[in-house]
Amino acid sequence: MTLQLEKGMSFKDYVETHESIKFFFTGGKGGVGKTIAAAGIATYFANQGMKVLIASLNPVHSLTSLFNQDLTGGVIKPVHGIDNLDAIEVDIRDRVEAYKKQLADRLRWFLKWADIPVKATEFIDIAATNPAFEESAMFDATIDIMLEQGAKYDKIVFDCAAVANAVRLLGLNKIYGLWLQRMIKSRQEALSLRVKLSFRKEKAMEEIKKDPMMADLLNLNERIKKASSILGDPTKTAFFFVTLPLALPISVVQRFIEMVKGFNIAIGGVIVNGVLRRDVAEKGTEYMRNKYEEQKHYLEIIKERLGPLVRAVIPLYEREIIGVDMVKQVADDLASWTPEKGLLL
Amino acid sequence: MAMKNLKRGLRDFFFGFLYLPHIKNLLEQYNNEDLALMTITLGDMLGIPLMPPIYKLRLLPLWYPRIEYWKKHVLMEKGALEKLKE
Repeated sequence: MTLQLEKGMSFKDYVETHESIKFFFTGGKGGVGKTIAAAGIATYFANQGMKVLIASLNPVHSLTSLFNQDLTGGVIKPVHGIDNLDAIEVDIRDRVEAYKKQLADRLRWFLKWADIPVKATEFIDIAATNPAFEESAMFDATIDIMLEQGAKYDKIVFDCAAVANAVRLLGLNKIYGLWLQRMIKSRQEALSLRVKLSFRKEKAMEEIKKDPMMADLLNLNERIKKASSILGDPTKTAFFFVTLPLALPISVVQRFIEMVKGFNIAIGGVIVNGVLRRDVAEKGTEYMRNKYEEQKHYLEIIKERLGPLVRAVIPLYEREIIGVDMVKQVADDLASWTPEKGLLL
Repeated sequence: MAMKNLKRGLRDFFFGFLYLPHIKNLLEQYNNEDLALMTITLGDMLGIPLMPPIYKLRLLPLWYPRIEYWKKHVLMEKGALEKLKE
């Protein structure tokens, strides 16, 4: 029994029939191999001669460890040993600081404009400290990469943080959009009230035309719209879910798929990672054979629940996946899997 | 009786003379601080792109009656006389 899949499409066929997809995301429960899958996908495309960028959006990066070379610093660096592949470990600290400064400046400006004579420092410190900044900074960085680097690369692979973060990240697109709409409306209302309450109407009209807050909001809205049009376009973006043949990661993927559907994100498929090969298990101890039997049960569940979505199966290697050679091996296994080979390797 | 009235008169005079401006000043300051705090918390109502803080909802009932006043006050164009007063 190899748990063959009657219906379905391999990763290779998928990307060949969906050539226009430029942005790939990988997501899944913590520790399932999202980074490995992302690196495998990126390396596969780089091997095809395409110019590829792999971007880690995880607050705790692993690309440096995975490729076993220094990719830190928040800048794009070439990956030595794999042609055409660049990598970036996105650093949001500067961005969060810049946010705080921008918001503080705007608030100071507003309080002055509204003639509220207070020493605003403490107030502004409170207002400019918000846990949501980290999230929105990461989202911003993602949009930046999509918009700015999108033109320079053939494919961009994003390695997301664990599920909750990734969903928030993608969901922010929608939430941010709605929030901005509301914000723009509020600003319009505020400005028209300002005109009503002023006795020099012409001056007020002139003033509101140049309102910097409104300019900020419209600018942001423009970016969100662009990001939405890319994220929600199944011809440009696909989300790949990674799972291990274990109960928890499987149910996480199932729930994740439901959530992602709500955000209009195209689902590229599921990658099953860490599958113990039969030949390895048979040669091994009783412990290994037991694990193999246990794994069979979970692979059956994957077949039943996610079957047609499975795009690749990555075996459990004898060595940990560290360094360029191992990543290349992952890319090869990722590309050579077919539904006929089945889930049991 | 006259002595008593004189005493009260003097007390009121000195209170007004010494403390009233102070109290007025403090009340104004209180009002300003309150308006500033409302601005950084409810500022998104006026289109200031603040991410709504989590404690906003808890403060809302407290501030609800003042919201209209706050909006008008911060958006109103201040006259030259008011500026002089400050």
